[in-house]
Amino acid sequence: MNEHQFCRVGRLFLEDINNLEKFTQESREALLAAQHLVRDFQHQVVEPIYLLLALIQQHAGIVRAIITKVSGGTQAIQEELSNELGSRP
Amino acid sequence: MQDEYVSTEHMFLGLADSSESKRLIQFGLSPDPSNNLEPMLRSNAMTTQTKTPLHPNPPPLIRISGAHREMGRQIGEVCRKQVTHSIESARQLLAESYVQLELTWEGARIHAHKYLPFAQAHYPQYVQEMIGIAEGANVSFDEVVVVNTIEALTDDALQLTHCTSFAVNDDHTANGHVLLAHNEDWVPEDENDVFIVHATPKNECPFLAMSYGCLLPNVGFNAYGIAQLCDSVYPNDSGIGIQRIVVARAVLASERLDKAIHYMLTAQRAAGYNHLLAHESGELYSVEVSARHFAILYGEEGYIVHTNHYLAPAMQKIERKPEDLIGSRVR
Repeated sequence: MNEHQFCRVGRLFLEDINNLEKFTQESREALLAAQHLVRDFQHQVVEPIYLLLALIQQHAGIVRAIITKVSGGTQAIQEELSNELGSRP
Repeated sequence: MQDEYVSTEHMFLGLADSSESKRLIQFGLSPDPSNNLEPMLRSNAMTTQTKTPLHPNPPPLIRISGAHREMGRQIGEVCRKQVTHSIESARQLLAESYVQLELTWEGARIHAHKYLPFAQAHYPQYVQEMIGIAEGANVSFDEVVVVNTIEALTDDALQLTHCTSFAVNDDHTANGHVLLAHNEDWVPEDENDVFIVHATPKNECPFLAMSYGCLLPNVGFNAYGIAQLCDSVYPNDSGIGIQRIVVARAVLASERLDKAIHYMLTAQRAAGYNHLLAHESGELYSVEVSARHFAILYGEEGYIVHTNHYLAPAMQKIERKPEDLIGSRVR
């Protein structure tokens, strides 16, 4: 994952992108999981959708908890994300 | 947000401001400032993750792969400085302890070689790793063997290790993970020799382990969900045989818990550690080992702790100078 790809994810950690020591353990795990998803779907470029799916898949993560609270669960959004990624060439 | 660390909360807020915003709106999460997304993330009730502070100078992570000798060579090449320093540190340790041990460095080299045939007979692949480390770091193989035999050579008289290990299984942790922790309480002079090794052996399972200098990796976990922490113990039946660190290295190659314990109890072992053994399923054991005895303790209540004294009554009978292990009991 290069800097440009990170930049597309969001503005909030742009300034820290060259300093992974500033990332929490959970954040590092999410980035790694996003990379693995790219590989699993046999794609080439890390995009925000991979990071979103990785964050939702963190079982004890805050993102999963938020979506569950707002939407009642994460299954629907996970399915939508997986379907979209699966349909990509 | 003015925070020190980039957390998954920051990432999520970033996504709400990215090409994924439409999808998040669809699921009720809007990036609009009037929306309660950020306050929700900030809420104590919702904040379940810990912002884990990281060590300012974490040990380097090195990746090795291939045949055992090749993996050793990769460690030696990448960690040449640490390997060289660990040998010098061991040499200095023996020099400073000469009055107590009456063992010179040359004597240590000769004595260490007595252990080698046993390791070669049972675990030739790890002797190959030692050869590789020596080749990669351009140091003497004999000296690598000395460092990997140092506990036996000093007859444990120096009692330098004060390690503590504990594990808690998934029934008792907030996030449902099996957690292990280990304090490797060796001499501070060697702190800068520590590194983390991610190994993908050609014919064994991958593992992640901590090591330092030219020691074979031993504290770590493998791809089969087996983790090992080692604590020194001080039995009275130690002899010449397979170095305990070679035995511990073998445990990292275990595919099953029973096989791990089988390795710990390899015949002709010179001595033993307490091996705190954990499986990703939550099974926890302390396997207390000496050269000729062992005891297996089970973490029945979902956790297990060990320091440097034996806990099993049968092993306490062969503990040498238990009165010297008060600090271990206090811990």
